[in-house]
Amino acid sequence: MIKLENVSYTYMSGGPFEKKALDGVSLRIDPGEFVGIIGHTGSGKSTMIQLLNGLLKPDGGRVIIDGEDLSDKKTDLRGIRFKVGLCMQYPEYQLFEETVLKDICFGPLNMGLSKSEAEERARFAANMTGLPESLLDKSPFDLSGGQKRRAAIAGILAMEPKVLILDEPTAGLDPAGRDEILFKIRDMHKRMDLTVLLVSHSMEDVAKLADRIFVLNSGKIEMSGSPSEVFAKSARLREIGLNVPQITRVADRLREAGVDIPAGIYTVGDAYRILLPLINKRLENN
Amino acid sequence: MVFEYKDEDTGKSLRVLDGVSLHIKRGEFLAVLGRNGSGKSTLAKHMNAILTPTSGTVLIDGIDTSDENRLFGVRRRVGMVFQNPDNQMVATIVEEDVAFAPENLGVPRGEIRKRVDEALDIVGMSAFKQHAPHMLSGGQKQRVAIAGALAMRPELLVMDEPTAMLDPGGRAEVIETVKKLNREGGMTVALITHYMDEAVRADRVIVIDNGKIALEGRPREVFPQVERLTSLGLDVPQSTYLIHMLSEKIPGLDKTVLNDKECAAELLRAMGIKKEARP
Repeated sequence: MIKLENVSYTYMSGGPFEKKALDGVSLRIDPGEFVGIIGHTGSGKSTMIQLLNGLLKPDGGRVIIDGEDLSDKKTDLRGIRFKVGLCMQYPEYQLFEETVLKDICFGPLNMGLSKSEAEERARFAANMTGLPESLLDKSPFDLSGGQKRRAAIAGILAMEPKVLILDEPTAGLDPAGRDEILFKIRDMHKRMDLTVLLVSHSMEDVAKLADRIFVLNSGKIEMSGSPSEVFAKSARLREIGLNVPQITRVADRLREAGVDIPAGIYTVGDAYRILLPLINKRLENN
Repeated sequence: MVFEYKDEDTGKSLRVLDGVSLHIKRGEFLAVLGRNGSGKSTLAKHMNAILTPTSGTVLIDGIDTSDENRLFGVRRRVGMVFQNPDNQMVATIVEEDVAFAPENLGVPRGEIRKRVDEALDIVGMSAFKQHAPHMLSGGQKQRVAIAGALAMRPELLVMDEPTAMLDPGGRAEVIETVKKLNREGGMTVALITHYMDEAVRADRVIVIDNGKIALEGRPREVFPQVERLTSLGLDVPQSTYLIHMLSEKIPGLDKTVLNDKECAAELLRAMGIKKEARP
């Protein structure tokens, strides 16, 4: 349902700061997929997601959402933006209404829904993000950082998009807050039948959730595949300025020392399951 | 020290810091951990008198931060770097932004030039001297903000989640820079962070919870306390966690490992494999 065909985008074309942000990117994301997009600063991640809901238009190639070419003048971009919900970095800075409920209702009301329909959706969305009902009548500015982030995500969910794009949703949160948000996102993906694109430079976060990962480097797709396929290429990931989960590095070091441990380990649980019998066997033999 | 503020809606007094006593030694690299809302940013703001304690005292180089006559002396000694670099940029050209603090301190012109060049060099942003800050990436902006603090030649550098908005490459650069400043330049550093792999690089770690110091010690003393840290809303490095899990089945593992290199070496030792780990 999401298709990029040979998409390119250049900022300030012709000027002294000209920068080719995307360079011939092609990819396809199917409905219901949970996709991770990783890449270091300046790799083209943010450009790509802005192309996906028509905030930017490609210089070359085509962006196709549900069969509609976003560069086509006949395409209803407003409709596309309701379909593709984009949650920018630090979305809590965009909260503005008097109450949390009103803020979450902003999107659905703009879609032309009645007040009662909008509120019904807002309550559902707040619940999905784990925002307690008791906070809905408060000013968004009285919420904690993590709660504000949830309120902002709820504002997008309330439009019932088919695709939810989250740009660094856990940035600045503490470890417990980070895990809570990630858990909720996984929940939304399952229960609301959403296609989710999680943009992050946290390898650990992406590895926890995504079925498939795209790695962007210098405006191109450097590699794609399941988390274990991608993390199996840890040397290359490091070369292009990305980090791999610490546990992947432990496994890499063990393998280099001759331990029989597969490439692409990316969770502590997997490492534990593989290493425990290996160590026990060694201890018995010695 | 104690810090309280009045909630405007309810008129109730809220205690954010509750009897904190802390001594940061010259040349020390201190990491401050704690969940959101624990009071750690409030603590940081006390270090250069953005906030002053409701009761108790904060002394910087012997200067009481509550002494308004000596505010300048405190501010000059303590450089602050915050999470969001956009809120810290004041000029339209990178080098002018870095020059802002020394200009305000009345540093002579030639000396400013030298400090600005040095500071930008340390953070690896010399090539962007003439650029407009808004044209930089988040990571680059943050490095400029650090250069701005360094140009003041502070005694203490207080950083409140300086890497929260950076990618792994940018984070590593900033932390390496901070580590170098501390080790080679003798800079005293207080780093507030959510990243455990940054905290393990510090000389000492304190965990703030509910306005109190809940845990304190060298990283090797603090991080093996996996359950305690989890209950404080924090996590531990994956290497430390793996050894912690394996320790329940395999006796004799060294639970104080903090990074991938130490973890691999410890596992190889347990398996009786002798191999020099690569650096």
